[in-house]
Amino acid sequence: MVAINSQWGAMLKNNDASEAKIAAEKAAYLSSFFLIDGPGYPQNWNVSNVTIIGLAKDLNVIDQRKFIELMKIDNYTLPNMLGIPDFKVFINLTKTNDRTINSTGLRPILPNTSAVIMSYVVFNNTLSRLYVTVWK
Amino acid sequence: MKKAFIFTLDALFAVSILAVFFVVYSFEMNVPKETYWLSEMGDTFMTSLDKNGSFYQIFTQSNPEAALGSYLNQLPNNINANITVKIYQPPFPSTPREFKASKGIMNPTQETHIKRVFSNFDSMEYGLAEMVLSYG
Repeated sequence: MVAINSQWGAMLKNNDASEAKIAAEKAAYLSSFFLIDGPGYPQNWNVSNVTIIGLAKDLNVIDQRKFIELMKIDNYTLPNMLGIPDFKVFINLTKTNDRTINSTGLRPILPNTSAVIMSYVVFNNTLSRLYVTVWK
Repeated sequence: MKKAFIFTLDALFAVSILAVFFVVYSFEMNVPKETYWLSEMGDTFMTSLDKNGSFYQIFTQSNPEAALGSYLNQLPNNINANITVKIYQPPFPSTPREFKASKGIMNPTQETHIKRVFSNFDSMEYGLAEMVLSYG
């Protein structure tokens, strides 16, 4: 019974970590969707008037001007603009060999509760990768 | 009274075992859906190749299959893939030009299939790209 109780406790703990990770994954998918599938709001937003962040000038095609504006948004406002105020976000745009082009946000501290979504995008007419990491 | 006590212990033990299995099952069900991620990643890959004109560029290369293979090499190292691209050109009805490329050895138990239709109204061309992905 002691062994079962101990295992039970360990599994509940794992389940909590798993739930946190699943919540982070959902938030990461939501953020990726906002970033690569939509233009944001207002449509020609900049750092001073943005209410919803979106980077797409076409499906999966990143608007370079908006990406530069994204870099100017502070790390604590960024999750609110992506519709995930309870999380922290790290966004990393890389070449397909994972060499960073530019990044913004807060890097995760606890990897077991963070989730990373990698999407392929077109940036400057080149196939690139957009990593969205979400964590608490 | 004693018999009832033994029955209660048996029942308690059975319930404990069932509870442990239930928790393990719940935990397993919460494991991130790797196949779903593979499908999402593959979809963004195909969309990006379409949006930056890569599918059409393949057919202007001296070695189209090598060009197609070079695109597959931009997928993550742990992903294997097969791709077939067909293009239909006027006058219609026409026999498609077809090229294939592959990366790694596919794992048939984990395959994810992605299709994308692409078109170019200026040159009156259209095509179909079909990709199969699996973990290496």
